[in-house]
Amino acid sequence: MNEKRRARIIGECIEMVQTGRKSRSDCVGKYPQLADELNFAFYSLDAISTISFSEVDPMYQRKRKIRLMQKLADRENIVTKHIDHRYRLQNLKRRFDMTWVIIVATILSLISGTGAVYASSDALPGDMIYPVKTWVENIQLAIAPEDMDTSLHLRFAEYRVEEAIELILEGRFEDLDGAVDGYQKRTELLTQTMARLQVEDSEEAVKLRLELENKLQEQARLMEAFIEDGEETGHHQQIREMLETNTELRQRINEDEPETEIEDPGEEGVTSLGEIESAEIDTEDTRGQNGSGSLSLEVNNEDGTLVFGLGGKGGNGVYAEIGGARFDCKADGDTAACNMNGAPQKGTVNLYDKETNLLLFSCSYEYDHNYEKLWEGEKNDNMNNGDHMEDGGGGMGKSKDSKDK
Amino acid sequence: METIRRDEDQLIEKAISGDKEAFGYLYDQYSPQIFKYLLVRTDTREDAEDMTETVFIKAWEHLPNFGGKKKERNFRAWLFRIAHNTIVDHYRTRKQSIPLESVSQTSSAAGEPDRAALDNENSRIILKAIKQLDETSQKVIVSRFFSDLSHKETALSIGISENNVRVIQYRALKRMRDMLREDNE
Repeated sequence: MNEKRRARIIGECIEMVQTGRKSRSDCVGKYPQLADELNFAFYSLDAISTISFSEVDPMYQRKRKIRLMQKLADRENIVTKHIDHRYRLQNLKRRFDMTWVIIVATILSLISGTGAVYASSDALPGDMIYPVKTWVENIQLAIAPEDMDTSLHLRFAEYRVEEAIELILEGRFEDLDGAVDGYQKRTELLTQTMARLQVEDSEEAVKLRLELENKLQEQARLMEAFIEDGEETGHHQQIREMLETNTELRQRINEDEPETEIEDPGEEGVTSLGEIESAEIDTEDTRGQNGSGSLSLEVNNEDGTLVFGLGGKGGNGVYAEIGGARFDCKADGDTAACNMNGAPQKGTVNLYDKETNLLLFSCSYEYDHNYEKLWEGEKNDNMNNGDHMEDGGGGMGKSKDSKDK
Repeated sequence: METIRRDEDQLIEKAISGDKEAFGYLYDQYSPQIFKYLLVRTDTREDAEDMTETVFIKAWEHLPNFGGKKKERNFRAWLFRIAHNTIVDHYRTRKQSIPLESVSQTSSAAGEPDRAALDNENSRIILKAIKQLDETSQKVIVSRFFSDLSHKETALSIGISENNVRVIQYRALKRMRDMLREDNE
């Protein structure tokens, strides 16, 4: 009996016992070869059930509820124009979902039988039926109205993330490339769709960008959590590749935005942070709305805080994000200090406007554990190029822009 | 059961349209479960209370998106998903691993007898074993065994398939059993 089957039997037995549909002895009697495993599962259930969580005082509970209710914003205050757009998108999506199911199922059932279409929804790369799944997706795209393309590409990209994680969990590493390639393909199409929309309806593109940013952050968060949670295998690299694709896509989408005039912070960049000891930084890439390098980045060696010079763009407040994880920042005048405790050793840090969620700044980074020599990479002794990576003592790195010059 | 589900759907629809009272009923129904889950997986009662509040504020804000993906049309699983993310956000900013040991402490401030009382040796042993599992396995075991989520709800709340929940649960139990054996040797 393979592991998957054992897992299924034990899982079903536990659930049936939990819901009172079967007795323990029934389960053990039916599967004597799994008696040890089943008995341990029941022993665990018993042990956990004896843990008593005392009831919370009802009065106290009521106070908490009143406090919560007071904190809930009125719906009309949450439902901004941008959310309205999302509603519209959701409603359209729901309406067309059903139409697609009917149309696609009808077409495909004529060709290959309904079973194949239904079964393909759970298929993974490498499964015989998987091509049917991607075929259905392509048909959905072909028959959907144009304004649905972006949300469809996004949804299909999300499926690829889920597929990759499932493949790893099932140990089917040889099929992983299928999911990675599929993700890259979907994100490429998504970029093209966004670029087209930018030309055709820039106002709509701006609205959609916000929605996309949130969804892509969700995907990044899922991948990041998986990488962190799981035991490291060589195959996590493929998830990292997808995460990089995700980051690149978000940068590209934000790059498509119309250029905004940005005030050069000049000498008032980050040099006034007297007590902060800077460290070397290798910003391989600096993009985003302010990809011109007007924003800047400095590192506090003592506690791993990143200090961004905001170049006059932080009026709404900012937050930093790495791989979908959000890090709070404290704004102080034209700088923002972001506590990056818990950040991975290597990655891409993005700085966002707190209110609009627009990407302000982005760069890749790498540091050692003790924040002793934070950033690996080429030192830059010639920082007079306007990127404002001021050297506060430890020497600073440079942006791609500066390297290219 | 169907009636309950229909009532819940109505409450959700009302809450989506801005009815806070309807949302309050949902809070009454689910906040004890969410609180208990968070209590097992966080440091202190205060953290669990604050995070419970955060979960419901997030739920209120994102409720219009609930059910966008058909497979996520399960309110309880959706709330637990928010709870998972809230824990991850909380500990990521603190640079800590997500603890389970808090549940093994019987102490609590006066008037706060919420902490799990571990007067049973078996509970202590099992909790110690759970604590040594990786993060995903902990999520699965706590969701399944503490919060009584079904495999389907656990799958929805974590974002993996039901089959994977069963496999992770199976492997986690096996690891726990091995740990206990090693301790006894």
